[in-house]
Amino acid sequence: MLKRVINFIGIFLMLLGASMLLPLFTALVYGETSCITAFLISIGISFIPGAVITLLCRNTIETQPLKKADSYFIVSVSWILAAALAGLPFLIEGSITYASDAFFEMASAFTTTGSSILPDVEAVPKSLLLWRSECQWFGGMGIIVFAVALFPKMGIKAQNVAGAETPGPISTKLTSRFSETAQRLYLIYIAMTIILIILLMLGGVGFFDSVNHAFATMATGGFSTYGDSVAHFDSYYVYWVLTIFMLLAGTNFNLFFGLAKNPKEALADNELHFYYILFAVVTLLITFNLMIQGGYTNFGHALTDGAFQVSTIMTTTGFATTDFNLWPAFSKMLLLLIMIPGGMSSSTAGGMKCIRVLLDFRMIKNEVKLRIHGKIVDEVKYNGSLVGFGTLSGIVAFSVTYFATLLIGLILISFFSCGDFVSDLSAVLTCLNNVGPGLGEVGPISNFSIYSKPATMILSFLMIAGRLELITFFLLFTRRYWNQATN
Amino acid sequence: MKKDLVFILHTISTAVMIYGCLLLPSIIVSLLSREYSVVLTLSFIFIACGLFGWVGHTFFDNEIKKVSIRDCFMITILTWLVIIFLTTLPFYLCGNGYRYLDCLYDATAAWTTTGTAAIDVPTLPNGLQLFRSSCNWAGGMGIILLTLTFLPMRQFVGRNLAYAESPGPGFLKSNNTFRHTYRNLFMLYVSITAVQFILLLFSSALTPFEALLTALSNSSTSGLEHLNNGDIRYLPTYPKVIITIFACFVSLNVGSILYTVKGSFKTLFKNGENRFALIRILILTLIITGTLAIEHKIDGGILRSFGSTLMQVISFVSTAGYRISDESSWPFYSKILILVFMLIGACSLSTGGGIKIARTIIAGKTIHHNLSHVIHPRNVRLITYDSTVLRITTIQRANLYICVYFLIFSIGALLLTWELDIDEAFFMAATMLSNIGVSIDGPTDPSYITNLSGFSRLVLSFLMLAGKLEIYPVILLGFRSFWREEENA
Repeated sequence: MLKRVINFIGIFLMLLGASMLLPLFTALVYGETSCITAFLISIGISFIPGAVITLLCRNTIETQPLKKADSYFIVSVSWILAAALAGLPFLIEGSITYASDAFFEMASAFTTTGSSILPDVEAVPKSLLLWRSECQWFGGMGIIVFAVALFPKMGIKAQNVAGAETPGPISTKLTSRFSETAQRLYLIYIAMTIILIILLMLGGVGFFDSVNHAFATMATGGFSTYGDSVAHFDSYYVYWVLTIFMLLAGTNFNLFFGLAKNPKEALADNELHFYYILFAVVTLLITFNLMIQGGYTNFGHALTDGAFQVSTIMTTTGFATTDFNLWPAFSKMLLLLIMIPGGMSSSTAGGMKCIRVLLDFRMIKNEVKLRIHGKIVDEVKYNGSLVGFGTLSGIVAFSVTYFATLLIGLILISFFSCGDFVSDLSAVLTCLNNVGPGLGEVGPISNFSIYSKPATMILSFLMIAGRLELITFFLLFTRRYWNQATN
Repeated sequence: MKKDLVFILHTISTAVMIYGCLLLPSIIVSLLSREYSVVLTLSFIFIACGLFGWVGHTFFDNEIKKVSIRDCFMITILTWLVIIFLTTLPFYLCGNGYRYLDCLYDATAAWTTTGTAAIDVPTLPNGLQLFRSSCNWAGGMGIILLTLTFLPMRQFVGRNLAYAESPGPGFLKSNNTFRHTYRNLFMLYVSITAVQFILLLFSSALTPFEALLTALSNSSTSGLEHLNNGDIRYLPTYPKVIITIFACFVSLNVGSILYTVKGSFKTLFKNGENRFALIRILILTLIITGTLAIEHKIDGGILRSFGSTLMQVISFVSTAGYRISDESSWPFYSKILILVFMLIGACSLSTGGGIKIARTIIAGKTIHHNLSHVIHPRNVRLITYDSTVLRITTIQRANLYICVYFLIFSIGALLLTWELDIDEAFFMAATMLSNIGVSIDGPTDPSYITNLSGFSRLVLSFLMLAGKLEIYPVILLGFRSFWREEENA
C-alpha cells in the first residue's frame, strides 16, 4: 500500500518536472538567462527524485485498490509538494525572497486562487509569469486527473484518487473507465483554451498575454501579467469575451458532453439554472446599485463592470476591470457573498459549489413545508429524482464544516491581523474559495504582502483546503488517520 | 367557522388578555408617580385589550382535540406580531412625540429581549419604563409559554405550541407532564427574578424602582436600557457583580435543572452546554487580560482588569447586551472571537439567543464523525450528546438550522450595507439576530438608531424577531401554502 502511494507521488513529481519545460522554452525565447538556470535546476530537483521513486516502486500498480483515506493522502501531499517545489524557480531566480511567500504564490497558482504577494508583477521575467499561469491551468482541472489521462494504467482502481481532486457531491460517470473520462475532460479543456487564445488575439491582445490570460481564465485562476489586471486592456470586447469564458469555465464540464448526447436533459440541469440565474440577479443588483450609489452614469458601463466582476468573483477567477474597493458597500457585500456558492460542481471553479447551496435551499424549503404540513415529507428532488438522505446529510455536514473552517480561519488570521476586519474577512473568504482579490488592504489593486509569514501560511493552507474540498485536506491533521495508516 | 381558525383566535385573544394584565402594574406605578396622562393612555389600552381579549377568549372556545403543526406556527407568528403592534401603542400615544417606527423598533427590542432602544428610555415616564421591563420579562419566557401556563390545555396541544415558539435543538425528555414542566419553569423564572430584585435592593446606587426594572430586564437577558441607556459603567461594584452573576446564570441551560431526577444545582455543571458556556467565558477573559497585561495596558491591577473584562464578556456572550466595562482597548482578535460567540449564542432552554450551544456541539460532532467515517467507512458510530444517542433527523435539523441562520445573517447584513459600512453591517446583524443589542465598540446611545433610515430600522427589527423565534416562523409568512387552509389536514 505504502509503495503504491509513493509510486503515485513519484509519477507526480516527474510530471511536475516535465511541465517546467514549457517555461524553460519561453525563457530561451526571451533570453532570460537567470530563469534558464533556475528552471534547469528546478527540473532536476523535481524530475530526478521522481524518476528514482517511480522506478523503485514500479511493480505495484496491479495490486489492490487504494483505500479512500490513502487517496486523500496522496492528493493532499501531492498538492503541498507541488506548491513547495513549484516555487523553486522563483526563489532561485530571485523574484521572491522568502520560502513562505513562494509557497503562498504557488499554492495560489495550483489552487487557482490568484492572490499574489508580488508587489510588482510587471517586473517579473516572462517565463516565470508563464510558469505561474501554467500551474493555474494544471491546477484547474487537476494535476492528478491529468496524470490519469496520460497514463491510463495508473487509473486502475484509482478512481478514488482523482475523485478526491475533482469537486462535487453528485458525480456522474462519463465513461466506464476513469482514464477515458479524464482524457475527455482534458480534451474539452484544451479546446476551450485554444479557442480563447484565438479570440483574445483577435481582440488585439498579444500572443504572450493571450496565452497567460487564457490559461488563467479556463482554470478560473486569475493571475494576470499586469498589475492592474484585465483593466490594462481597456476593451469592452476583451471584458465580455472573458466574462463569457469565465462563466463557461465555471460550468459543469459534464454538461458539455451532455449537450452532444442529450441536449434537452443537459439544458434542464437544476444546478445550471441556479448558477446562471444567480449570476443574472446579482449582476443586475450590482448594476443598479452602481448607478444609484456608485456614481456610474452610463448604464452600459455599469453593466459591463458589474457583469465582469460578478462573473469573475462567482467563478472564483479573480480578475479585475476596475478597483471595486471603491464601490458602494452594498455591491462589495454582494461580491463577498457570492464567493461562497462559487461555481458549479465538476468545473474548475471554487467555493462551496452551487449544487450544494441549491440543495441547502431545497432542504430549508423542505423544513418549512414540514412545519406547514406536519407530515414527514422528507422529499428533496434534484433533476427530477429524489435525493437520498445520505447525500443530503453529507451536503449539510459539508456546509457546517465550511462555515466552521471560515470562522476558525477568521479567528486564526485575526491573531496576525493587518488591523482591519473587512480586509481579514475578505482575505479568508477569498483564499478559502480560491477567488483571488479581497477588499480593504487586499483589494484588487493591492496584494497580500501586507500579511506576515504566519498569516501567509495559514492563508495558503486555507487555499489548499478549499480547493480539495476540506475533508480531503483536514484528514492529514487527524490523529485517527495516522493511527490507521501506520497499522 | 372552522375549528382551526377558532382555536387560533382563541389563543391570540388569551395572549391579548394577558398583555392587558401586564399593563396593570404600570398603571399603578404611573398613578403613584402622578403621571396622569400616562395613566389615562394605559388604562384605555388596558380596558380595550382586556375587553377584546376576554370576549375573544370566551367566544372562540377551546374545544379542540388536536391542532396541526401549521396552526401552531400560525399562532406563534401572529400572536407575536399582534402583541408587538399593541406594544407600540403605549409609547406612541403617551404624548412624547416619538416616531412610529421608533416605537415599533423599541417594541420589537423589548419582546425579543434585545438590549437596544431607539427611545431614550431613562426619560420615559415611570409607568412606561415598568411596562417596558415587563415586556422584557414576559418575552424572555415567551408569550406563548406564558399563555400556556395560565390556561388549561391538553398536553399534546400545549407541547406543540411551545415547540413552535422556541424549538431549541429538540431532543430533551422530561419525566413530568408538559404542563407541569412549564409551570415549574415559570416558578423557577419568577424565583430567579425575585432573588435578583432582593439582592439589588441592598445597593445604594439603585432606587428600589430601578432594582425592580433591572431584575425584570436582566433575568430575561434583555440588556439594561433603563439605566443610562445600557451603559452601566458608572455603577459601583456590588450591583455590577449581581447583574453579571444573574445574566450569566440565566444564559445557562437552566431547564436542565428541571429535567433531572434530583433537580439540584450540581447537575448544571454536568451539562455539556453549560460547561462549554462557562469555559469559553473563562478562556476568552484570560486571553484578553493576558494580552492587555503583556501590552502593559492595565492600570489598576490585574485582578481588577480580569474582573471587568469578565463582566463585559459575560454581557456579550450571555446575549444580554449592556456596557459594563470599557472594551475599546481589547485586542483585535478578541473582538472576532466575541463575534463568533455572539453568533453561537447562549445555551438552549435559557432566555438567551443565538444558534445555541447545543447545536454548535452537534455540528462539531458531525464534523468529527464525518472525518472518522472517511477513515473507517464501515464503522457505524452513532453521535451521542450527554449520553443520549441522537437521531439522524435531529442532527440533520440542527445542522440545517446553522445554515439557515447564516443565510438570514448574510441577507440581513447585505440589506444593512445599503446604509452602513460592511463591518458595521456584519456586527449589527449579528448582535440583533442573537438578541444582544450592543455591538462591540458600538454606541449605546439611542440617537444612533434614530438616525438610521426607516429601512435599516425595519431590517434590524426583522432580524431581532427572526432570531427570537428561531427563524422558521418568520420565513413561513412568505410561503403561499402557509396561508392556504384547504391543503392542511
